[in-house]
Amino acid sequence: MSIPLLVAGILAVAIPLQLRRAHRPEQDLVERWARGHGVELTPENRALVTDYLRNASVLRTWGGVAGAVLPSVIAFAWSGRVQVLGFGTDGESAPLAFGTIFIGYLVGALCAEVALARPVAGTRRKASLSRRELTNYLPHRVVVAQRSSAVAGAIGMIAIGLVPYADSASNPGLPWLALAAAATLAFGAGLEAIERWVVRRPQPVTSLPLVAADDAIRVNSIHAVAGAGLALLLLLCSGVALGLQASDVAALHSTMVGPAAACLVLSLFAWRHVGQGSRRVRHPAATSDVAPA
Amino acid sequence: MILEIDPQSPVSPYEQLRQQVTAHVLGGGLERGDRLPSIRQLANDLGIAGGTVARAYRELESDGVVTTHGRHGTIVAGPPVRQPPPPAHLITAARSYADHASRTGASLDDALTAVRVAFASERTA
Repeated sequence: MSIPLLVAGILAVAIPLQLRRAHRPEQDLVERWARGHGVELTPENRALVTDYLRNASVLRTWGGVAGAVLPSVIAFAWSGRVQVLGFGTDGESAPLAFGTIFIGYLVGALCAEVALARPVAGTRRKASLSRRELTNYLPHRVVVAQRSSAVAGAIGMIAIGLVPYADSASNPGLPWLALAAAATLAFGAGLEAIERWVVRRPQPVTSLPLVAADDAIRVNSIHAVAGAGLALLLLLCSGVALGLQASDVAALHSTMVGPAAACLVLSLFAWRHVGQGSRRVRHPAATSDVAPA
Repeated sequence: MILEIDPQSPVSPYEQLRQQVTAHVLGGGLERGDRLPSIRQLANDLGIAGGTVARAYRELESDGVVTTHGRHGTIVAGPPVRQPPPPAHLITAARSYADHASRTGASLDDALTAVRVAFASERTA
Protein backbone atom coordinates (compact mmCIF):
# COMPACT_ATOMS: atom_id res chain seq x y z
CA MET A 1 0.00 0.00 0.00
CA SER A 2 1.36 3.44 -0.89
CA ILE A 3 1.93 5.99 1.86
CA PRO A 4 -0.54 8.61 0.48
CA LEU A 5 -3.25 5.94 0.36
CA LEU A 6 -2.44 4.85 3.91
CA VAL A 7 -2.55 8.47 5.18
CA ALA A 8 -5.81 9.06 3.29
CA GLY A 9 -7.26 5.93 4.92
CA ILE A 10 -6.27 7.16 8.38
CA LEU A 11 -7.81 10.58 7.68
CA ALA A 12 -10.99 8.97 6.34
CA VAL A 13 -11.47 7.25 9.69
CA ALA A 14 -10.13 9.98 12.01
CA ILE A 15 -11.96 12.99 10.51
CA PRO A 16 -15.54 11.65 10.90
CA LEU A 17 -14.70 10.46 14.43
CA GLN A 18 -13.32 13.87 15.44
CA LEU A 19 -16.26 15.72 13.86
CA ARG A 20 -18.76 13.43 15.57
CA ARG A 21 -17.00 14.05 18.89
CA ALA A 22 -17.04 17.81 18.31
CA HIS A 23 -20.71 17.98 17.38
CA ARG A 24 -21.87 15.59 20.09
CA PRO A 25 -19.88 16.50 23.20
CA GLU A 26 -20.03 14.21 26.22
CA GLN A 27 -22.80 14.93 28.68
CA ASP A 28 -20.56 15.93 31.57
CA LEU A 29 -18.12 18.00 29.47
CA VAL A 30 -19.23 21.33 30.93
CA GLU A 31 -18.93 20.08 34.52
CA ARG A 32 -15.50 18.52 33.91
CA TRP A 33 -14.25 21.63 32.15
CA ALA A 34 -15.51 23.88 34.96
CA ARG A 35 -13.86 21.67 37.61
CA GLY A 36 -10.60 21.64 35.67
CA HIS A 37 -10.61 25.41 35.26
CA GLY A 38 -11.66 26.15 38.84
CA VAL A 39 -15.01 27.66 37.89
CA GLU A 40 -18.08 27.21 40.03
CA LEU A 41 -21.01 26.72 37.68
CA THR A 42 -24.07 28.79 38.52
CA PRO A 43 -27.33 29.38 36.61
CA GLU A 44 -25.77 32.72 35.57
CA ASN A 45 -22.61 31.42 33.91
CA ARG A 46 -23.60 27.92 32.76
CA ALA A 47 -25.05 29.12 29.43
CA LEU A 48 -21.92 31.16 28.65
CA VAL A 49 -19.61 28.18 29.33
CA THR A 50 -21.84 25.73 27.44
CA ASP A 51 -22.05 27.98 24.36
CA TYR A 52 -18.30 28.59 24.38
CA LEU A 53 -17.38 24.91 24.71
CA ARG A 54 -19.77 23.88 21.93
CA ASN A 55 -18.52 26.58 19.55
CA ALA A 56 -14.86 26.09 20.45
CA SER A 57 -15.03 22.34 19.96
CA VAL A 58 -16.80 22.58 16.60
CA LEU A 59 -14.73 25.47 15.18
CA ARG A 60 -11.35 24.12 16.31
CA THR A 61 -12.12 20.66 14.93
CA TRP A 62 -13.36 22.02 11.61
CA GLY A 63 -10.29 24.25 11.50
CA GLY A 64 -8.02 21.22 12.01
CA VAL A 65 -9.93 19.25 9.36
CA ALA A 66 -9.62 22.15 6.91
CA GLY A 67 -5.88 22.27 7.66
CA ALA A 68 -5.61 18.57 6.84
CA VAL A 69 -7.72 18.55 3.69
CA LEU A 70 -7.44 21.98 2.04
CA PRO A 71 -3.74 21.74 1.08
CA SER A 72 -4.52 18.56 -0.87
CA VAL A 73 -7.43 20.22 -2.65
CA ILE A 74 -5.40 23.35 -3.42
CA ALA A 75 -2.40 21.33 -4.68
CA PHE A 76 -4.65 19.29 -6.95
CA ALA A 77 -6.49 22.35 -8.28
CA TRP A 78 -3.24 24.31 -8.75
CA SER A 79 -0.97 21.74 -10.31
CA GLY A 80 -2.92 18.50 -10.61
CA ARG A 81 -0.59 16.92 -8.07
CA VAL A 82 -2.17 14.34 -5.77
CA GLN A 83 -0.82 14.52 -2.23
CA VAL A 84 -2.20 13.77 1.22
CA LEU A 85 -0.69 15.62 4.20
CA GLY A 86 2.49 16.17 2.23
CA PHE A 87 2.82 12.62 0.86
CA GLY A 88 2.46 12.73 -2.93
CA THR A 89 1.60 9.90 -5.28
CA ASP A 90 4.63 11.03 -7.32
CA GLY A 91 6.91 9.74 -4.53
CA GLU A 92 7.82 13.20 -3.24
CA SER A 93 7.04 13.76 0.40
CA ALA A 94 7.10 16.52 3.03
CA PRO A 95 6.57 14.60 6.28
CA LEU A 96 6.18 17.76 8.38
CA ALA A 97 3.37 19.13 6.22
CA PHE A 98 0.86 18.01 8.84
CA GLY A 99 1.63 21.38 10.48
CA THR A 100 -1.23 22.77 8.40
CA ILE A 101 -3.52 21.03 10.91
CA PHE A 102 -2.06 23.31 13.60
CA ILE A 103 -2.74 26.37 11.43
CA GLY A 104 -6.36 25.31 10.89
CA TYR A 105 -6.83 24.57 14.58
CA LEU A 106 -5.35 27.97 15.48
CA VAL A 107 -7.73 29.76 13.13
CA GLY A 108 -10.66 27.74 14.56
CA ALA A 109 -9.64 28.67 18.12
CA LEU A 110 -9.47 32.32 17.13
CA CYS A 111 -12.89 32.17 15.46
CA ALA A 112 -14.38 30.59 18.62
CA GLU A 113 -12.98 33.45 20.72
CA VAL A 114 -14.24 36.12 18.30
CA ALA A 115 -17.69 34.49 18.05
CA LEU A 116 -18.17 34.39 21.82
CA ALA A 117 -20.89 36.79 22.96
CA ARG A 118 -19.54 38.11 26.24
CA PRO A 119 -21.89 39.65 28.82
CA VAL A 120 -22.49 43.36 28.26
CA ALA A 121 -22.38 46.04 30.93
CA GLY A 122 -25.60 47.36 32.43
CA THR A 123 -26.46 51.02 33.00
CA ARG A 124 -23.92 51.32 35.80
CA ARG A 125 -20.60 50.16 34.43
CA LYS A 126 -18.26 48.20 36.62
CA ALA A 127 -14.69 47.04 36.10
CA SER A 128 -12.13 45.25 38.21
CA LEU A 129 -9.06 47.15 39.39
CA SER A 130 -6.99 43.98 38.83
CA ARG A 131 -4.48 44.47 36.06
CA ARG A 132 -4.76 41.73 33.42
CA GLU A 133 -1.42 40.57 32.00
CA LEU A 134 -0.67 37.85 29.47
CA THR A 135 1.35 35.94 32.08
CA ASN A 136 -1.76 35.72 34.28
CA TYR A 137 -3.27 33.53 31.58
CA LEU A 138 -0.25 31.85 30.00
CA PRO A 139 2.94 30.73 31.81
CA HIS A 140 5.92 32.98 31.11
CA ARG A 141 7.95 29.95 29.95
CA VAL A 142 5.47 29.39 27.11
CA VAL A 143 5.82 33.02 26.01
CA VAL A 144 9.62 32.62 26.10
CA ALA A 145 9.35 29.33 24.17
CA GLN A 146 7.27 31.04 21.47
CA ARG A 147 9.78 33.87 21.07
CA SER A 148 12.79 31.53 21.18
CA SER A 149 11.42 29.10 18.62
CA ALA A 150 10.49 31.93 16.23
CA VAL A 151 14.01 33.40 16.50
CA ALA A 152 15.67 29.97 16.23
CA GLY A 153 13.57 29.13 13.17
CA ALA A 154 14.45 32.46 11.50
CA ILE A 155 18.18 32.07 12.23
CA GLY A 156 18.08 28.49 10.93
CA MET A 157 16.50 29.64 7.67
CA ILE A 158 19.21 32.23 7.13
CA ALA A 159 21.79 29.53 7.91
CA ILE A 160 20.26 27.27 5.24
CA GLY A 161 20.78 30.10 2.76
CA LEU A 162 24.44 30.40 3.72
CA VAL A 163 25.61 26.78 3.87
CA PRO A 164 26.58 24.93 0.67
CA TYR A 165 24.43 22.18 -0.81
CA ALA A 166 25.49 19.51 -3.27
CA ASP A 167 22.21 19.94 -5.10
CA SER A 168 21.85 23.72 -5.34
CA ALA A 169 18.40 23.35 -6.95
CA SER A 170 17.00 22.16 -3.60
CA ASN A 171 18.00 25.47 -1.94
CA PRO A 172 15.57 28.30 -2.69
CA GLY A 173 18.30 30.92 -2.20
CA LEU A 174 19.11 33.47 0.47
CA PRO A 175 16.59 36.18 -0.55
CA TRP A 176 13.66 33.79 -0.34
CA LEU A 177 14.94 32.29 2.89
CA ALA A 178 15.41 35.77 4.38
CA LEU A 179 11.81 36.50 3.46
CA ALA A 180 10.70 33.22 5.07
CA ALA A 181 12.75 34.10 8.18
CA ALA A 182 11.02 37.49 8.39
CA ALA A 183 7.65 35.76 7.98
CA THR A 184 8.54 33.37 10.82
CA LEU A 185 9.43 36.27 13.11
CA ALA A 186 6.22 38.04 12.09
CA PHE A 187 4.24 34.88 12.87
CA GLY A 188 5.84 34.65 16.34
CA ALA A 189 5.09 38.33 17.02
CA GLY A 190 1.57 37.95 15.62
CA LEU A 191 0.93 34.93 17.82
CA GLU A 192 1.81 36.90 20.94
CA ALA A 193 -0.21 39.88 19.70
CA ILE A 194 -3.28 37.65 19.33
CA GLU A 195 -2.80 36.31 22.86
CA ARG A 196 -2.48 39.85 24.24
CA TRP A 197 -5.59 40.87 22.30
CA VAL A 198 -7.59 38.09 23.96
CA VAL A 199 -6.34 39.30 27.37
CA ARG A 200 -7.32 42.89 26.53
CA ARG A 201 -10.84 42.11 25.33
CA PRO A 202 -13.39 44.02 27.44
CA GLN A 203 -14.36 42.37 30.72
CA PRO A 204 -17.14 44.41 32.32
CA VAL A 205 -17.98 43.18 35.81
CA THR A 206 -21.56 42.04 35.52
CA SER A 207 -21.44 39.41 38.26
CA LEU A 208 -18.63 37.48 39.89
CA PRO A 209 -19.65 34.04 38.50
CA LEU A 210 -19.67 35.51 34.98
CA VAL A 211 -16.25 37.11 35.49
CA ALA A 212 -14.85 33.80 36.77
CA ALA A 213 -16.26 31.96 33.74
CA ASP A 214 -14.97 34.66 31.39
CA ASP A 215 -11.48 34.42 32.87
CA ALA A 216 -11.49 30.62 32.46
CA ILE A 217 -12.63 31.00 28.85
CA ARG A 218 -9.78 33.44 28.18
CA VAL A 219 -7.28 30.98 29.66
CA ASN A 220 -8.68 28.24 27.45
CA SER A 221 -8.64 30.33 24.26
CA ILE A 222 -5.13 31.64 24.87
CA HIS A 223 -3.77 28.15 25.57
CA ALA A 224 -5.43 26.78 22.43
CA VAL A 225 -3.83 29.54 20.32
CA ALA A 226 -0.45 29.22 22.07
CA GLY A 227 -0.45 25.41 21.84
CA ALA A 228 -1.14 25.37 18.10
CA GLY A 229 1.19 28.30 17.39
CA LEU A 230 4.10 26.94 19.42
CA ALA A 231 3.63 23.47 17.91
CA LEU A 232 3.82 25.01 14.45
CA LEU A 233 6.95 27.03 15.27
CA LEU A 234 8.69 23.98 16.75
CA LEU A 235 7.71 21.91 13.74
CA LEU A 236 9.24 24.61 11.57
CA CYS A 237 12.44 24.44 13.66
CA SER A 238 12.46 20.68 13.16
CA GLY A 239 12.17 21.17 9.40
CA VAL A 240 14.93 23.79 9.43
CA ALA A 241 17.22 21.43 11.38
CA LEU A 242 16.52 18.71 8.81
CA GLY A 243 17.28 21.22 6.06
CA LEU A 244 20.66 22.00 7.64
CA GLN A 245 21.32 18.29 8.13
CA ALA A 246 20.90 17.77 4.38
CA SER A 247 23.57 20.40 3.57
CA ASP A 248 27.07 19.74 2.33
CA VAL A 249 28.61 20.56 5.71
CA ALA A 250 29.74 17.24 7.18
CA ALA A 251 29.56 18.48 10.77
CA LEU A 252 25.82 19.16 10.39
CA HIS A 253 24.99 15.67 9.13
CA SER A 254 25.11 14.12 12.58
CA THR A 255 24.60 17.12 14.85
CA MET A 256 21.29 18.26 13.37
CA VAL A 257 19.44 14.96 13.74
CA GLY A 258 19.07 15.38 17.51
CA PRO A 259 17.65 18.94 17.40
CA ALA A 260 15.29 17.96 14.58
CA ALA A 261 13.93 15.02 16.57
CA ALA A 262 13.77 17.07 19.79
CA CYS A 263 11.82 19.87 18.07
CA LEU A 264 9.39 17.35 16.60
CA VAL A 265 8.77 15.76 19.99
CA LEU A 266 8.49 19.18 21.66
CA SER A 267 6.05 20.27 18.96
CA LEU A 268 3.72 17.37 19.68
CA PHE A 269 4.20 17.96 23.43
CA ALA A 270 3.31 21.67 23.05
CA TRP A 271 0.24 20.77 21.02
CA ARG A 272 -0.94 18.30 23.64
CA HIS A 273 0.29 19.90 26.86
CA VAL A 274 -0.03 23.65 26.20
CA GLY A 275 -2.97 23.65 23.83
CA GLN A 276 -5.28 21.28 25.60
CA GLY A 277 -6.15 20.31 29.15
CA SER A 278 -7.15 22.30 32.21
CA ARG A 279 -5.59 25.63 33.10
CA ARG A 280 -6.41 28.28 35.67
CA VAL A 281 -6.05 32.03 35.61
CA ARG A 282 -3.31 33.28 37.91
CA HIS A 283 -4.49 36.67 39.08
CA PRO A 284 -6.55 37.74 42.07
CA ALA A 285 -10.21 37.29 41.29
CA ALA A 286 -12.37 40.39 41.34
CA THR A 287 -14.03 40.86 44.68
CA SER A 288 -17.39 42.41 45.30
CA ASP A 289 -16.26 45.32 47.47
CA VAL A 290 -17.10 48.74 46.14
CA ALA A 291 -15.11 51.85 46.85
CA PRO A 292 -14.90 52.43 50.60
CA ALA A 293 -16.77 55.49 51.82
CA MET B 1 -11.79 45.77 43.93
CA ILE B 2 -14.44 47.11 41.64
CA LEU B 3 -14.75 50.53 40.04
CA GLU B 4 -18.22 51.68 39.13
CA ILE B 5 -19.21 54.42 36.71
CA ASP B 6 -22.70 55.84 36.57
CA PRO B 7 -23.11 57.57 33.19
CA GLN B 8 -26.24 59.36 34.46
CA SER B 9 -24.51 60.85 37.47
CA PRO B 10 -23.95 64.62 37.44
CA VAL B 11 -20.37 63.86 38.47
CA SER B 12 -18.16 63.43 35.41
CA PRO B 13 -16.84 59.90 34.74
CA TYR B 14 -13.19 60.90 35.20
CA GLU B 15 -14.04 62.46 38.56
CA GLN B 16 -15.92 59.32 39.60
CA LEU B 17 -12.83 57.29 38.75
CA ARG B 18 -10.53 59.68 40.59
CA GLN B 19 -12.71 59.65 43.71
CA GLN B 20 -13.05 55.89 43.80
CA VAL B 21 -9.35 55.16 43.31
CA THR B 22 -8.53 57.73 46.00
CA ALA B 23 -11.13 56.13 48.29
CA HIS B 24 -9.56 52.68 47.72
CA VAL B 25 -6.13 54.09 48.59
CA LEU B 26 -7.41 55.87 51.71
CA GLY B 27 -9.38 52.78 52.73
CA GLY B 28 -6.31 50.53 52.41
CA GLY B 29 -7.70 48.44 49.54
CA LEU B 30 -4.92 49.74 47.32
CA GLU B 31 -1.44 49.94 48.80
CA ARG B 32 1.75 51.68 47.77
CA GLY B 33 3.31 49.79 44.84
CA ASP B 34 0.05 48.24 43.60
CA ARG B 35 -0.28 48.45 39.82
CA LEU B 36 -3.44 49.88 38.34
CA PRO B 37 -4.93 48.51 35.09
CA SER B 38 -3.69 50.07 31.88
CA ILE B 39 -5.71 52.96 30.46
CA ARG B 40 -6.83 50.78 27.55
CA GLN B 41 -7.94 47.90 29.78
CA LEU B 42 -9.96 50.09 32.13
CA ALA B 43 -11.52 52.08 29.25
CA ASN B 44 -12.48 48.85 27.44
CA ASP B 45 -13.92 47.24 30.55
CA LEU B 46 -15.92 50.31 31.55
CA GLY B 47 -16.96 51.12 27.98
CA ILE B 48 -15.67 54.69 28.22
CA ALA B 49 -13.13 56.67 26.20
CA GLY B 50 -9.45 56.11 26.89
CA GLY B 51 -9.06 59.88 27.32
CA THR B 52 -11.44 59.79 30.30
CA VAL B 53 -9.32 57.19 32.10
CA ALA B 54 -6.14 59.02 31.09
CA ARG B 55 -7.49 62.24 32.58
CA ALA B 56 -8.45 60.47 35.82
CA TYR B 57 -4.92 58.99 36.02
CA ARG B 58 -3.40 62.44 35.35
CA GLU B 59 -5.48 63.97 38.14
CA LEU B 60 -4.49 61.13 40.46
CA GLU B 61 -0.86 61.70 39.54
CA SER B 62 -1.09 65.40 40.29
CA ASP B 63 -2.74 64.50 43.63
CA GLY B 64 0.27 62.30 44.37
CA VAL B 65 -1.91 59.18 44.59
CA VAL B 66 -0.25 57.39 41.64
CA THR B 67 2.93 57.63 39.62
CA THR B 68 3.38 56.67 35.99
CA HIS B 69 6.37 54.53 35.07
CA GLY B 70 6.23 54.23 31.29
CA ARG B 71 5.76 50.63 30.22
CA HIS B 72 5.50 49.50 33.85
CA GLY B 73 2.18 51.32 34.02
CA THR B 74 0.50 53.34 36.72
CA ILE B 75 1.51 52.51 40.27
CA VAL B 76 -0.07 53.55 43.56
CA ALA B 77 2.19 56.02 45.37
CA GLY B 78 0.15 56.55 48.53
CA PRO B 79 -2.61 58.72 49.93
CA PRO B 80 -3.17 62.11 48.29
CA VAL B 81 -0.52 64.60 49.36
CA ARG B 82 -2.56 67.71 48.65
CA GLN B 83 -5.44 66.62 50.79
CA PRO B 84 -5.03 67.56 54.46
CA PRO B 85 -6.79 65.26 56.90
CA PRO B 86 -10.35 66.47 57.56
CA PRO B 87 -11.17 67.78 61.04
CA ALA B 88 -12.31 65.17 63.56
CA HIS B 89 -15.83 66.59 63.90
CA LEU B 90 -16.33 66.25 60.12
CA ILE B 91 -15.13 62.63 60.15
CA THR B 92 -17.61 61.85 62.96
CA ALA B 93 -20.45 63.54 61.07
CA ALA B 94 -19.44 61.81 57.81
CA ARG B 95 -19.41 58.40 59.49
CA SER B 96 -22.89 58.99 60.82
CA TYR B 97 -24.09 60.11 57.36
CA ALA B 98 -22.36 57.19 55.59
CA ASP B 99 -23.96 54.80 58.05
CA HIS B 100 -27.40 56.28 57.38
CA ALA B 101 -26.86 56.27 53.60
CA SER B 102 -25.72 52.64 53.47
CA ARG B 103 -28.64 51.54 55.71
CA THR B 104 -31.09 53.15 53.29
CA GLY B 105 -29.39 51.43 50.34
CA ALA B 106 -27.93 54.58 48.76
CA SER B 107 -24.85 54.20 46.58
CA LEU B 108 -21.62 56.12 47.19
CA ASP B 109 -22.36 58.35 44.19
CA ASP B 110 -25.87 59.13 45.40
CA ALA B 111 -24.57 59.95 48.86
CA LEU B 112 -21.84 62.23 47.48
CA THR B 113 -24.30 63.95 45.14
CA ALA B 114 -26.63 64.61 48.09
CA VAL B 115 -23.73 66.22 49.98
CA ARG B 116 -22.92 68.43 46.96
CA VAL B 117 -26.58 69.46 46.58
CA ALA B 118 -26.77 70.24 50.31
CA PHE B 119 -23.57 72.30 50.09
CA ALA B 120 -24.81 74.18 47.04
CA SER B 121 -28.19 75.04 48.65
CA GLU B 122 -26.37 76.06 51.85
CA ARG B 123 -24.25 78.54 49.87
CA THR B 124 -27.19 80.03 47.99
CA ALA B 125 -29.32 80.34 51.16
